[in-house]
Amino acid sequence: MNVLIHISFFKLKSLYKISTEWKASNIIKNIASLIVFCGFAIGAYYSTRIATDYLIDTAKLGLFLLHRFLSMLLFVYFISINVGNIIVSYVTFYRSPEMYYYLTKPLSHRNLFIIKFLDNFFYSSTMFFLIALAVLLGYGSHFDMPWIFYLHTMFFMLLPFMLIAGCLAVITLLFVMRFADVLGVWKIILILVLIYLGSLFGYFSLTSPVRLVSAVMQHYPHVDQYFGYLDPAIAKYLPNYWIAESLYWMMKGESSFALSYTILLNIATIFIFIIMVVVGEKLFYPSWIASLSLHGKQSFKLPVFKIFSLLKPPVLEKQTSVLLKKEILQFLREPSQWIHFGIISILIFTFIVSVANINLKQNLPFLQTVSYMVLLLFNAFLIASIALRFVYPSVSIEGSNLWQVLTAPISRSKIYWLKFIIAITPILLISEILVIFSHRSLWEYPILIQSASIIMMGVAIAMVGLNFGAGSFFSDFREKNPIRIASSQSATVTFLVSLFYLSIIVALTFYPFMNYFQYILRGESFNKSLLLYGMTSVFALSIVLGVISIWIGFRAFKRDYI
Amino acid sequence: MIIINNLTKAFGAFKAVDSLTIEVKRGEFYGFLGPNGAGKTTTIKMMTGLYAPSSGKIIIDQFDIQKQPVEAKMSIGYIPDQPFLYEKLTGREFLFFSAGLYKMDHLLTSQRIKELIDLFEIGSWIDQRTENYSQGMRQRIVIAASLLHNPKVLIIDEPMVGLDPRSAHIVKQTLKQQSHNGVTIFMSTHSLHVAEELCDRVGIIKDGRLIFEDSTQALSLLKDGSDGRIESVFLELTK
Repeated sequence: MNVLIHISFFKLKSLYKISTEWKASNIIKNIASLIVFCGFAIGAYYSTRIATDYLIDTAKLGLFLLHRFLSMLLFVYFISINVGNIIVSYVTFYRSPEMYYYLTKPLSHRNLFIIKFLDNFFYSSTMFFLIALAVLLGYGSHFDMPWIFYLHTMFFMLLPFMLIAGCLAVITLLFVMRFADVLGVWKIILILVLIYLGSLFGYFSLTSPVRLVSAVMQHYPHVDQYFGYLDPAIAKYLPNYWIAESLYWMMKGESSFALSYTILLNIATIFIFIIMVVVGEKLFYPSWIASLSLHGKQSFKLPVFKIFSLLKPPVLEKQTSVLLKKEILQFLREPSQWIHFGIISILIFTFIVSVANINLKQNLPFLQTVSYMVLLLFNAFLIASIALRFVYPSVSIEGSNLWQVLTAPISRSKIYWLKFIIAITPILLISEILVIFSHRSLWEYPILIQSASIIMMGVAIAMVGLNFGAGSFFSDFREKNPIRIASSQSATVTFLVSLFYLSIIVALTFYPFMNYFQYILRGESFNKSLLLYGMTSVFALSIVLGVISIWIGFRAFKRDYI
Repeated sequence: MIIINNLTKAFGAFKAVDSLTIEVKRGEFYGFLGPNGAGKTTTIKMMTGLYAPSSGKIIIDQFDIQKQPVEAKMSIGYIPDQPFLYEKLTGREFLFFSAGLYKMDHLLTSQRIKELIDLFEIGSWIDQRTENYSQGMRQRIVIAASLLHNPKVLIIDEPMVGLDPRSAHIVKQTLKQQSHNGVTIFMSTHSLHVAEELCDRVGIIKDGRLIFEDSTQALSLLKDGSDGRIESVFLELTK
């Protein structure tokens, strides 16, 4: 225990020293963090408050349904934390140079495992925790809950809940790494993807929100009563259900029921944590050793990649060609990059398949505008997430190797622009593909497709520009791991700026689109210039955001290389 | 070939390099010595364009590294103190990558790589990813990459770090050969014996300032006048 405290103390001290270093980028980062976090927290608080007010007071949804929806949201939240932890913990456990240092010290493998787990968990889950606090404040304020409610929910419910997700993620990873050598990485990943997709599908099939709503609404207006008999048996074993149940009973004033679920959740957390430590003690070191041999394996020998071979004569200009090929090879040979990209591709594919079959045509212009804006926003959100994950770290991951390029006879502006072009090309392509597929049911309205195409082009430019510029400005050449770079404090600030930008896009386009849908559905007059102004402002804003970010990033890229 | 004129680099209030002036003639082998933190690596980073000087000028092969960096760098082969490589590339890919940055002809690159593989005895490792290399093997690849384009100027920061005796011997022979072929070499090193063995002239830097500059023969004379050990001369000068 003393060893754990000793190492944790020095880790925190080092983190504090790095984040409070008196550097322009740090000062800007901290001030920007504060402003953006506050803005985002206030936004999350008010959104939750308004949504809760609406669902309870206006839509008369009832406490039971509200908490069942909450349970479903918590399930998605659980899976997000779980998958996030698997990806980050792979890097923390198996790719961190720190491991070489610790393994040479008289530390038990169990202590080492716990240290790395805590490092990983707090690194990848702190942001989720803070966002959850803002949401909880919005939810609790509707019911005028006392401060003890927030303390109890955050530390005795949400924290254990997140810990369970984190522990299960690490247990999964340990087994994957231990047996990847035997079964092969690809097979294991495929099995995992299928398990996750299967559990998502299974959960939502069993808990079917539509079926639940119609069953509860049969009792309208007495929807506040408890309909626990409608819950599928398997759902009762899930931690998201326990939290939802606990909150429901708290709102009903039945503290003893609520407490029983809290106790259940905490016991389960302790139990799973112990299992994880036992599994970690047995599997961590062997899996770390196994990871070394996996690491050395050159898995990509497919003929298709020969076109990217540096050994082949260049087709493009020589410097451009080698830099381009180097970027592609690095991406394809780094498991944390292509695995994550694979997962995102599956998500995009699922999204495309789903929205291609959804009929977006509603009868009411307001509802139609809302559903259309949700669709557009989801497209834009996907682009923002991809940009954060893959574009933001692109300068930092050059790391200590950048000397090779910077001392070569090539201008820094060429290096910078080339990296930008490499980043923006696939993202522009993805954004336009998303427009085409997500508008399948709206093909008879070409004006919508044209507008969406312009908006998404603007979003792609703005998001790539913002993430590329911010990634360059806040570049951290000490960190080798792209996932950790993309989940750093400055990356989170950048993402929150992205969300702020997306909300402005919604504000700028909502009214023009509503005017258009009023014209289609009600035959009211359509002011074309309104849509034109909306599109122009979106595009102009996107260009301004992109260009300013790129310019700031370039100024930073010209700094001394340390 | 190399002119460093009144060069200063300050990090805040701290001057890492202070009014440094050095001139290295074509084909000369210049040893740059100094204790840890004296400003050797900072000077080299400015010479290779990794740092911008606070003031002063660096001319490489008649080109100002600040004003005409691309032209100046075309003449430079740089060997850093830490041989960081793109870990996902094989040694051979890394060499082709380096050659591409210098716009070398592909066929010529292939031939040159063959020669360098033989010279540095890296044949059995060349198609492995560099993440599997030892420090010495990385250093050999970096040195090979720096020589690919037949540079007019070699700027070297601690070339012997992490090398086994055989590798060190190969590197020393290569540097001697390069110097013999008329390549100008600017080498920072901690190894006084290496400097004594290879260099024509040495400069000693301390606290960012040049405190000694003369031929290796003059340094040997100082050594003979002392206790016969070059370390004693160095310790006395950098006291």
